[in-house]
Amino acid sequence: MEGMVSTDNEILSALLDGEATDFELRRLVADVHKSKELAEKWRRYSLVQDIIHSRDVIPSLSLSDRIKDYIEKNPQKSRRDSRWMSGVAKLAISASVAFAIVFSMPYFLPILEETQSVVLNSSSTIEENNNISYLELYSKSEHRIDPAAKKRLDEYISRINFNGGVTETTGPLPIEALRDSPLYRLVNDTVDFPSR
Amino acid sequence: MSNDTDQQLVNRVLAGNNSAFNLLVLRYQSRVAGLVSRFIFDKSEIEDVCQESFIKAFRAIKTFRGDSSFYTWLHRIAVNTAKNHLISRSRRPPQTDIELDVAETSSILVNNEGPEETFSTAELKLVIESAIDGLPEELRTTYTLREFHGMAYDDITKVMGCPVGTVRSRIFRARDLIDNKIKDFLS
Repeated sequence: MEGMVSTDNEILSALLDGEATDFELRRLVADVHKSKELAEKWRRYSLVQDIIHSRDVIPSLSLSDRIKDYIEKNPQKSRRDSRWMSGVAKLAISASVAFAIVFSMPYFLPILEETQSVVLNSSSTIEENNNISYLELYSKSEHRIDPAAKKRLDEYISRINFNGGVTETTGPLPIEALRDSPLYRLVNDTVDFPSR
Repeated sequence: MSNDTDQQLVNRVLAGNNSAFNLLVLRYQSRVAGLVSRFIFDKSEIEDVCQESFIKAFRAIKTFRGDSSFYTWLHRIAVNTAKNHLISRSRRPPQTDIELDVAETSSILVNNEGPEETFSTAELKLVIESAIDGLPEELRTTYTLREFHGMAYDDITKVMGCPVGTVRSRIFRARDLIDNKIKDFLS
């Protein structure tokens, strides 16, 4: 090597040819930031290359100071920062969803429980699930229920198995008892079910 | 400048070193201005459009994936910025008290920078050619192999039969001698 130490100018020349090392580049970027003379030399080296290759140029134009000012006032966030920000954004979205779920629970939970209990118990006999009355759902509504009819209906329902029909094999179905029920409707009747 | 260098500089910017972008601006500002001057003739407008193009590039640098060269990417931004500028200018009322038919040809009226710039570029080219001719033989040969034949330093070492450090140094010295000739011309 003819020169004992690569000067910044020599590194500029190597950089122009894509032959500078990453370490040299890092050093040069810092030095160009500090030295206007070095920055001007880099501009002229580049300009000579453009003119040699007959590229359209306007040699007198100098924007770097204006753009440098802009960049200093509006710095580019590093990729690391943006990755971190992206992680935070994802976390924020997850937290929002969790928040929405937790705070909407008090509203949806009774409905879900009612639905679940109906579904779970539909395949078993009422006798096995004495704690649950299907009329409870209806009784929670604003409609008034005739206690006598409720009693008759409960007695009837307690005798039947939804999968297997009536548990009491003797005697006809006491369908008459259902007629007094507030739930009893002809199939073609329009029914206004209580809204939740 | 090789695409590797551009990519290295872009990587430095992405890593948060904004000073690296200044090297890209210094490298390409004259070329971008030459490109924009094909669309816009007024020098102050060229400067504004170039500045806007670089700022857009800086803001969008995260989207540069290196599929094309940095200059190709920058070229696209500059052309779009120039076109948008022309569209927005056509919507604006004339800035001076001139007749409407004259205003339509205003782009021709402000075209007073072109010949001067063309003259200085042509003259600069003559200065550079003269400087290259005046280089010592070994510097001129090494410089010519690199600049005109696009050879890598390693390949030049095989042709010249000297170490890569010598090649690098010779190319630098050739550039520095040329630079000394044009420095006065540009100032």
